[in-house]
Amino acid sequence: MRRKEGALVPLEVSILEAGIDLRLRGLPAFHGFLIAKEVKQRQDARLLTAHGTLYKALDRLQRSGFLESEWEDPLVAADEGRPRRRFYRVTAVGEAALARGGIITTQPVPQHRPGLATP
Amino acid sequence: MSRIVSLATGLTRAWTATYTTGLPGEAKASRRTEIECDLWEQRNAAARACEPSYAVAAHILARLILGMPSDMSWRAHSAARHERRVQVKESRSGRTLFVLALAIAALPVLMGAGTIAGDITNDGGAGALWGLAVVIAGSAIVAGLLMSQRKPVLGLRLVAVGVVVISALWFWVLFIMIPIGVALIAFAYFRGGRAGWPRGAGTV
Repeated sequence: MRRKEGALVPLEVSILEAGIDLRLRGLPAFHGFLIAKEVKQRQDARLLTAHGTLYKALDRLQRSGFLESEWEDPLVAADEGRPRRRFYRVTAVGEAALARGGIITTQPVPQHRPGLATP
Repeated sequence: MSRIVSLATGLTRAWTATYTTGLPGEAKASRRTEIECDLWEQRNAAARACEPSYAVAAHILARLILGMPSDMSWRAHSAARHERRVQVKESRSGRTLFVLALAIAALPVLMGAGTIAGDITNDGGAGALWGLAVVIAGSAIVAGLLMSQRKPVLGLRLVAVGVVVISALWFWVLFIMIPIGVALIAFAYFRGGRAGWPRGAGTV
């Protein structure tokens, strides 16, 4: 979908809404597959969001400062015998953008917070 | 994990490896780990829900195929942000030709993936392998074109290998494949040339 200048696309709005909804249900952070499932349920879609579409949207939301992310402790993942999860959280800036109806008025922020681990 | 789910997972991994090739370590590792995690979670959720293997494989393949344009766009933006940029002013016609070449190269990827999806639902095997080879060769051409300015030698090699493999796989339309293949290789060569190669800009 072509992006309207200065606005979030519907998928990005859905991700922010689902992220906030998950937090209200006691899950402060989410990983890619979890948010894809939430978005699928909210949109009553047949398929989960495509990999490329989902992770590109998450990347852009993070660059805009609407999400922040943190990699899971590798030991936790190793203990459970699965790949590491990247956990995202909706920021106050993200909530504010959503409250404005998805209109972006902030400047992009650096992608990573200092000290956050990468895989 | 059943064979067809393994195949769909392997295709997704291969595609992810292709479009992240040449990106800086952090961007590459992050995307690959996220996709790996997503695949694991999807397979795990499907196993808990007792979903049939063909449905899981088809779902993974659909997510792969539908996301390919976004993957390529993400790669282009990531490369622009992170990599050493070769300053080349490209004309509008040059950009149009580049998009056209990418679209032509993406065609076999989509057709190969379609063949695999069709073969999986028919519970076949040989067709899926043929489709996998087409997807990999097409992905090599796409990756080669994408890196034809930043890494001309590697880009040209990838395009050439992809073209040769696809020509061999589609030998019955060789009279069409040869001119298209030559055009793609020439295009990758001239894009590398515009970046200064072979006078030192092209590094593998």
